[in-house]
Amino acid sequence: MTPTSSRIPFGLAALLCVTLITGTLSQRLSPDPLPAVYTPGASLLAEAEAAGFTLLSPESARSLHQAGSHLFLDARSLDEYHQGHIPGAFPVPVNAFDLHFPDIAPILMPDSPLIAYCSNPACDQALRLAERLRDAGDTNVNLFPAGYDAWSTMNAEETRP
Amino acid sequence: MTKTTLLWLLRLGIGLLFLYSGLIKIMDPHRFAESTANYLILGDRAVILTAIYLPWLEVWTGLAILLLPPMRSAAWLLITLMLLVFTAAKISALTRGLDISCGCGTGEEPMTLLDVLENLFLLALTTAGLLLDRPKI
Repeated sequence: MTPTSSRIPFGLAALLCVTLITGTLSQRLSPDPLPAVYTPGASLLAEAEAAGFTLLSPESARSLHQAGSHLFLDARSLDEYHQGHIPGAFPVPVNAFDLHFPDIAPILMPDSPLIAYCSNPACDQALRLAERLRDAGDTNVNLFPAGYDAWSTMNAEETRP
Repeated sequence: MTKTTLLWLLRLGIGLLFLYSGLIKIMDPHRFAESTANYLILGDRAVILTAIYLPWLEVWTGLAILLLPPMRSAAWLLITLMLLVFTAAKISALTRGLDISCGCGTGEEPMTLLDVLENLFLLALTTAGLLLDRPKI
């Protein structure tokens, strides 16, 4: 073994040790440590709440849909939207926001009540869309975190004989 | 341009990139955990372990390349291995049609083939670093 190659195991061990130590310390000392097991969507919900968005349950979302008081915006891709969406919802794929927002901008007022949704609590598109809408000037943006998955399950259960 | 100058440019570019990339993940570990989970590759416990330790590994390897000559060869090796894993994860996500951001920085733009090409370019640079940046004995 040459002196150069003999340095590699030493360097690997040292770098891995210091990584383990600093990673463990940062987790232990953090005021907001990561949980032991990842829970899909948990941090997104916390982020949405911290950002001041109202989070709607499936039941609340359905009553607002029935009342027709809010505009539902689908933040998923166009493909997903065309495979199925909440009736009356507009497609505003957040990954192409600048392309699709002008389609709905003319019908929006600054306080238009909006509800952004994507597939489920683990997807971040609804929160990103809500942030973009707020940046665009809308002051009444709500989130339906359970999303289209919960909506379709809820409706399937109701229509089941 | 001499080989020494080129090596220093390589160290500065890759070292600072990994240092920066690790630090922004350390500043928001929850978001990095979400980004990691979005790839649908790791289990729920592995996502957390990755979110805790990977950013620090990026920081220390970046620092080692810049400032710690005795550990430089090991750092080049680790960075090259990390890039191989990142590239494989991106290719896997793209082939499965996942509409996710890469989780590599602060941006939320959806991942594209360009991200894979960028990784391959970085991989070429780190391989050069691994092969050429040997300490003088």
